[in-house]
Amino acid sequence: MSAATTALFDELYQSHQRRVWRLCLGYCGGDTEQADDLLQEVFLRVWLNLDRFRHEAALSTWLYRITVNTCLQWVRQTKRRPDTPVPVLPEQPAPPPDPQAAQLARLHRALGQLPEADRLLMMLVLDEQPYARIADICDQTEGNIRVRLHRIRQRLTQLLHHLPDEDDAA
Amino acid sequence: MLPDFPDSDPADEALRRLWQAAPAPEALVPAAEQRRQLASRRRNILLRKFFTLLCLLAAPLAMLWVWLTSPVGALGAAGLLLTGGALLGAIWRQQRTLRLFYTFPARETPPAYGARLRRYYQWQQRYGLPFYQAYVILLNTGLALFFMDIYRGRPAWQLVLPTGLALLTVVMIRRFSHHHVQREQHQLEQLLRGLDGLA
Repeated sequence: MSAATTALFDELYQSHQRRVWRLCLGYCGGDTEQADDLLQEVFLRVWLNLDRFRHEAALSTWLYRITVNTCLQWVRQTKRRPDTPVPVLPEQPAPPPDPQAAQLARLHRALGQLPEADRLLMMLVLDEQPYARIADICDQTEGNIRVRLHRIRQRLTQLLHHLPDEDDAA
Repeated sequence: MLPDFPDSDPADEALRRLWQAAPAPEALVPAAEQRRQLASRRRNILLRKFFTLLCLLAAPLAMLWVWLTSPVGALGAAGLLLTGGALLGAIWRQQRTLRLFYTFPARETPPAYGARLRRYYQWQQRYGLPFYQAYVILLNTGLALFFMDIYRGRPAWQLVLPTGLALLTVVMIRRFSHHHVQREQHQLEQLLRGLDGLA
């Protein structure tokens, strides 16, 4: 790999690592360990394809596309795997409840109930991406994105109102 | 004029703040360390890609070389063709999978990739099992024919090798019992449903 590609990879990694991780976290339903694995998968694919990147799209748009595509692939593959038994861990005292973490978990669960395409749009909105970039990433018109988002927001609000708390659900 | 950024509705704003307050990744490693961790996996994938491509190009030449240098008759040549065909099919499939999982052109949007994934799973749903069974049968039949031809005059080998291959074929095909196939089909249907709305 050339020095220029290495520098580009490092720059991409430093500047987008957190955002990519948040998207991964959204796809993993808030599971931080899985999000860490997924982050690695994303950057592995970035590295494998960086040499062939010919600026047909903005670099950040391409990175988002790879992130979403890797997440789609990963979610599909994970759903295919038979349930693996969860190892039994020794009992530990429960940490004090963190209201923000509980709200975030609730948001992730609500997002997880949206259809794949809607979840993607909503996560990009939550990540404060401008409409133009969202449209570019998803290859749709801005108008279409705005109309769809209106419906998706309503659905998400409904889900957030009707989802039981994690403790109630358990 | 419509805003460039998603609306600053208070409820939306609260959700955005919550989303961005997600904890930092635990494995927050510097870029150089990340590259070091990924280096061997990257090398393996590139090697697999290179190897499958090499096999696809070299298999017909290897078959030709065996046919020219071994005293094989029509039976042996037919066996060679069947074996080579089966191997080429398997390598082609492997390369298709590698491309699906590791090649991401810059222009490929998530809906386009969703469509690519859908095509892959649809193909697998329809032809995955018959393809595997055909591969096993063609490969073992080809090898059996080839051995029968080159061991002409040595009846023990002529009998033992094809019988062994026939047994192996039965075992490999029976591994895919009815129940296993049904479960696999069910999972693939779920996957395809999950891609609804994307492509």
